[in-house]
Amino acid sequence: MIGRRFRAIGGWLADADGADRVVPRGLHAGLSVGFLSAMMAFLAVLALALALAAGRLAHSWESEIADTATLQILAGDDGIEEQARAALNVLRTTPGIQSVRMVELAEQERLLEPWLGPDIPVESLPLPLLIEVQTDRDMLNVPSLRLRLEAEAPGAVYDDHAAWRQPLVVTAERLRIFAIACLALMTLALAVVLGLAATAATAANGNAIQTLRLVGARDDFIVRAFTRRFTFGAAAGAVLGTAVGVLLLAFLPQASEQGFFLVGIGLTGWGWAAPVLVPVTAAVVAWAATRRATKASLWRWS
Amino acid sequence: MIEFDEAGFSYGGTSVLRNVSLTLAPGSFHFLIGPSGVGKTTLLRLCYMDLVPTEGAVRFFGTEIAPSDRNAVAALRRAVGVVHQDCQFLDHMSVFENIALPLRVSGIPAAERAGDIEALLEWVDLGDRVDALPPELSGGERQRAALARAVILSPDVIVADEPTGNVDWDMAQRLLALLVELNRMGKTVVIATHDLNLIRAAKGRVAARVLRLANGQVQPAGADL
Repeated sequence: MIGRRFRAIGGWLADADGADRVVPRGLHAGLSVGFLSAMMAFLAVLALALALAAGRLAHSWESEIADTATLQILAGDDGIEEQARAALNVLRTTPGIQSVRMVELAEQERLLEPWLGPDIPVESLPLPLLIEVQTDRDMLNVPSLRLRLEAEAPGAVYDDHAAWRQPLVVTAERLRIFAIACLALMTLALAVVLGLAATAATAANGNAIQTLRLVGARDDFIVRAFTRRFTFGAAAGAVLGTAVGVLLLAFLPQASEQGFFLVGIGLTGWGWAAPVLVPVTAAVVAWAATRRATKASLWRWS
Repeated sequence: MIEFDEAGFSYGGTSVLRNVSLTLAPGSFHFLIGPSGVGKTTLLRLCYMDLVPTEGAVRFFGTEIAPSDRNAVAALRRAVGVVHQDCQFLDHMSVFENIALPLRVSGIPAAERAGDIEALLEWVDLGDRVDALPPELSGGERQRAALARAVILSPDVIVADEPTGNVDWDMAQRLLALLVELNRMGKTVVIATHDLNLIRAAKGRVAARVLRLANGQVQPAGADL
């Protein structure tokens, strides 16, 4: 059964019965299908890259950033060291805290420089004392930690970045859904347009179809001929569009180069293999849409 | 072989054929005559199910084929060779490929039957036009190529609609000779024509039955032919 199906697909690809030859080569129609498919494939590659990048981004914000927190000691100058010692003591005895690190004044200065400029006397500002904390989310009980800090170091504020991290995760997730929706819509649009093109092509080749029927061609032979022509045209266009899209992505700066997520839309690792799916999908969609449209046209003419 | 049983056909509300009862027996030769527009082409199209009777029935080789059974209709058309009035070629394919078209749609590789096709091309005197495209052929050449295509699958019945309509008298005689030769091979031949000289020329060469189509009905033609 499977062997027979593979032989049938092989015969179709090799055009064993020469069905392809009977369809007149309409240069205009062929180019239109190829060009349309190339454009769709190009956009699909970009949408695919966006979906993958948004997924990476969401994962990054969800996991990597979520494992860090900051402790701010807001007490006045006289009690800040005492508060810091108490807070560090709480942190070191709390399960789920993997490491703690004091953020030096120079480091704070570097962090503030983009906003305040290079010549601001940071030491004169009432900056809180910062402690960077690495956590294990599975083990850490944040409400319990907050309660202990409130009791033993009231000037300490534990910030796990949830306030600004969560909207970013949601945004990245929505961006990914948007990109996937774009892919789905493009696939649907390709199917509809190719279906219309196939219907137009069968109408334009009415005489050829009539001749084929006159000499005893079965409908599946005629359907095969038109389907093959359109599928190969769409696949060729999609390969071209995909290649251009991948080239464009290859020349985009990578996220690591700039440290800013918007330039990290390019593909990474196994993600480079994903665009292979675009021409394959285009060919399958073209095959299904053309087959359906040609069958419907032949049925109407019967 | 092909049997019309009180068959009739109407285009919309206009009746073209009524109560036609006719048997096209194996190996018989028929001329179908009548003025233009009387329904000769309609009757021929019923012979290969390009049309379906709106009343009565047409049986092929003893069975009635449902028009919805597209595979059976396709199989019928392989058993009935048609020489269409305007030949109906695929203009982007060569004469050789057009003649081999019934083989191609039947899944028979043309290469396997290349010898037969070449012999057939010689038989219709188109041996030197193998690679020509249909638009490059003269009227007579087109008719002969259409005849070659109609017989490539060795059908039991050959239906020709005005095969000599666009050719000179010498070419008409040549085409007639080819059709008579096919009939001698046992093929049933049905020719629709309004050329009475062609029928007269056939007398003495073949035992042809002449049918006149008038007022939507088929009648045997008189002895004046």
